[in-house]
Amino acid sequence: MKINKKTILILFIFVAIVQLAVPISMIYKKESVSKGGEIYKFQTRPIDPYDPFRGKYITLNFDRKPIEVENTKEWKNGEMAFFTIKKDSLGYAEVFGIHKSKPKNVDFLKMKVNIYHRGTIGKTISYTLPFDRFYMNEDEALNAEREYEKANRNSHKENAYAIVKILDGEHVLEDVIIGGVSAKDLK
Amino acid sequence: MKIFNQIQELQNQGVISPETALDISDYYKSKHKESSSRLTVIYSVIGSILIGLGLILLFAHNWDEMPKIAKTIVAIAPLAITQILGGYFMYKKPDNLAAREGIGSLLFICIGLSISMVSQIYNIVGSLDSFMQIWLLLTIPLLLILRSSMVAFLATIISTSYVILDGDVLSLVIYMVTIGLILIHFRILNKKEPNSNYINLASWIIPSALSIGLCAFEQRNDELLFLSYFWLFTLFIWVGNSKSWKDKSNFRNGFKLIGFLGILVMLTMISFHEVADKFITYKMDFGQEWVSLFLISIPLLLIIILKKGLFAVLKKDQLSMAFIPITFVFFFSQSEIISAIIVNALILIIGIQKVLLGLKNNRLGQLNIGLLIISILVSCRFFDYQMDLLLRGIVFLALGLGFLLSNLKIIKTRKNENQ
Repeated sequence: MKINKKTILILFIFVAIVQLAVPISMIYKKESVSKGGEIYKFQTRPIDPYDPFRGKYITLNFDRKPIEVENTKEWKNGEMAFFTIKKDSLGYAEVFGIHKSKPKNVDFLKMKVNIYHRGTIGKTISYTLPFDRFYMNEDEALNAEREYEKANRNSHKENAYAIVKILDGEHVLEDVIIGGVSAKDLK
Repeated sequence: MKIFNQIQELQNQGVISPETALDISDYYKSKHKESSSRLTVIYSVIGSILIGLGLILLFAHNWDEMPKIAKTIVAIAPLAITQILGGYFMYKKPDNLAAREGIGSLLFICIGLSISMVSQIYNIVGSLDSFMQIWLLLTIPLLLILRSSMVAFLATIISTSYVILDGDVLSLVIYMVTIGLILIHFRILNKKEPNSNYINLASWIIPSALSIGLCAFEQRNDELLFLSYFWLFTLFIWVGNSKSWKDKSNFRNGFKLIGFLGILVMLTMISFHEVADKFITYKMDFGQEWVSLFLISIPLLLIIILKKGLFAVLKKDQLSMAFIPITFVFFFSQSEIISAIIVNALILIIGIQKVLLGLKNNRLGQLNIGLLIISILVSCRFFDYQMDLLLRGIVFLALGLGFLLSNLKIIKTRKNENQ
């Protein structure tokens, strides 16, 4: 089968557009959250793995309270659900509800459902926050990670937290604040 | 070139006529042209990859000082520039192999680079396997459009890593479609240029990738996967012995060698009774392993039905047919002893067959491989059973003498033939 030059060129242009569209749509989505999103502070807890494709980053562990539900049977382990988010009295983010469909007039994140103790200890649902990596320069990441661990050893609430912007279920991890200083400025 | 001086000399001495001299010169000139265009391809591929890597390092150098907008431009620009270059070459020189291979490799790298850079700029946490999935889906069309073997190799590596890391049904489907397209690409290339370097390289990379990828089918029935491996290696040997492959040297025929080694290693493994015991006590669970077995059986059946000539040759070689008794043992044998006898006898027959063939065809390589197979079989059985030291000594002496005498015999026959 001989396909002519023109068809191949058109196909190539089409493929090229799709190839470009993927990273550009990623940028567009994140930029719109970054501009219009609500700011939330997520309290952290304290590790430095190396992802061969993306250089160094600091790993974030969050202080997350499981959500109380009436019946865990309604939920399957690993299914995606909408978790609603509000700010607590100290101004930190708190995950407080879980929904099957998109909630209205409240900020939310789409996360995987984790049920650890089905029917035995309480009726709670756990989740994993979708932003546990903050990318940094290789040399600085190590230093920041040390500061991060130091800050998390003290139990004062203002020690370390992640600043996340949320809009329509999309999120952007903007910064990590360690002891009042941005991780980017820890050198 | 030296050859042209020699042609001149032969012509002057009257050994060859001026016409023949001209023909020979023309032949070498065209050959020289071919090899220099091959070099261009190699240079363009290496150059493209180096440029890609250089760009990464250049920007990584002062990445932190750059504002976000500059970072995003850096993430997208290499891809866009390579695409424009690609479009230009596709329009101006669609048949230039060096350009297609170079652009193909560079585009492949740039796509992965763009996505991972954007992920890093916005702290997007994605798993490695989902990253590879997008990368593959965006690059596979390049294989069809550019017909580039480098893209095929890169896609083989990425799709195999992806299916091993992920392993769910979707990843298996993507893997199989990718490998299918890659196989079609190399089949067409093998028809057009059976001696190209890409085909030699593919004969090693493809069977290696398939062997690695097969274990992604494992679900809960690893004994059945063992059988799938056996069938897969058999398929490699069959392909390696088919018309377009059989006359190539071992170095250019990875299918044959990987299949051969694979089958020998697996046979040796199940000749140990602990492994054989596990092997025959499998359960008929339904798992993905059946899918792999089914998929491998299709080309095997096609060869049996459509390539009667090839099958007639394969039938005579015990190694190519070893999968039949092994499959029988797997599904029907209930007794450990019968299985052990079948497997051990099979290895012994393969060894003896190679020795006899070696002696008949005066081939030292075949002869020694046969003897080696028998020696390995004997050594393995020494691990299994407590044998008298005297007996062991005698067996090894006999084997050693066998090696020496048969090798000497062949060397002697060769000398006689030469005289």
